[in-house]
Amino acid sequence: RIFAIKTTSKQERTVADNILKAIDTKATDIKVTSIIVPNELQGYVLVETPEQRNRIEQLVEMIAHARVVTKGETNLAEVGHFLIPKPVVSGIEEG
Amino acid sequence: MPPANKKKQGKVCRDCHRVVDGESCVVCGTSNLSEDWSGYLVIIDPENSEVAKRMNIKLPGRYALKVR
Ligand SMILES: [Zn+2]
Repeated sequence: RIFAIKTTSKQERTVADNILKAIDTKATDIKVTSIIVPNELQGYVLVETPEQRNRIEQLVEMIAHARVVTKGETNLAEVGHFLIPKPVVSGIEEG
Repeated sequence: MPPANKKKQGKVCRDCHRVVDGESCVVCGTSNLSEDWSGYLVIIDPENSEVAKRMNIKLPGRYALKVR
């Protein structure tokens, strides 16, 4: 599942780095598998996680510049358009 | 480790999109780098990440979503 975390303005990448740091240093045992920071989505980061919502709320409390977990959850189908895989072979066009 | 305070946007590898600290990508070994990139992606656990699979990323790390 994927949750959206609201961040302080212009601190989206900082929040992503802070979450990475918290996990790398084992400051938290909350599991996050990836963090997406699309330019189009100002003031939010998207967190991919196997955890339940309350665990992500706990995570937000310890991360500087992270504010709240927005209501509801999303999934890869809904946010997939932010992800453009690097082309393995160039010249593929979408119709 | 670089300080986490304000810094200008670093460089990314044009081949694998990884954010590079030095002058060449530690994964690809190339110095084909770009400072013109947007979007940001942190892959922590590629084996359990659908996002990593979608992006064909096999190694944990920090990546650009778009590289020009
Ligand atoms: Zn590379």
